[in-house]
Amino acid sequence: MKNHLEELRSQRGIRQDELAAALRVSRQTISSLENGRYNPSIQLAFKLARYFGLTVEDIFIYEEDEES
Amino acid sequence: MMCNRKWNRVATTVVFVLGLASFLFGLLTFLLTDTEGRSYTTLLGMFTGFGFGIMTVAAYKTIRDKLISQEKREQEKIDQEDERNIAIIQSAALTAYIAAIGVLIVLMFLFMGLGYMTPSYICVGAMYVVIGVFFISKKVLEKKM
Repeated sequence: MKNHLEELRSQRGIRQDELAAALRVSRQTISSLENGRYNPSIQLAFKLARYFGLTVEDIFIYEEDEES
Repeated sequence: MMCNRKWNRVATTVVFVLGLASFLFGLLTFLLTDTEGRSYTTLLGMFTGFGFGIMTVAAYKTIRDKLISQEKREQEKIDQEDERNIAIIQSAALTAYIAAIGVLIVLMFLFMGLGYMTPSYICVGAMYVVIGVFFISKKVLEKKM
């Protein structure tokens, strides 16, 4: 799943490890999310949205084609 | 968090005590009784070795927990509870269990074909053990997520 995570993080000048510590996940998880290699759980998606003060849809781009 | 740490400490202590009991049982029985027969002494040796092994692991864990910093301990806890790490472990465990069951099925047929009935039954038993362990680990990992 594509997302704007890296963009949002850079805009706010936050490092990957800082974001990981704030969300209580590993830095590798943040890196995998940014590269689109890992899709987060609903809980983590909401945590991210809350952290950036946005909605889940503002961060993640859902494309139906991905499922096929 | 404190509760989890307390349980970890209790588990480590229980493992240490069990290891010590097994080690002493194996060693003292070998030294104090009249041991005859190779399989009997091997069994006592297994008790001693197994006991010493798990006792060492428990002691190492206790010492390590005391030596590492609070920061590192916190990071380890985050890594253990990280949803991506759990997903990777789950996927790896599933692959390993399927491979183990496959190997046991092949061995079971092989032993049966060669006429070795006892090893064949052991393979069947081991297969059920692997399936049981799979469901237990699945439950534990689901709880963590």
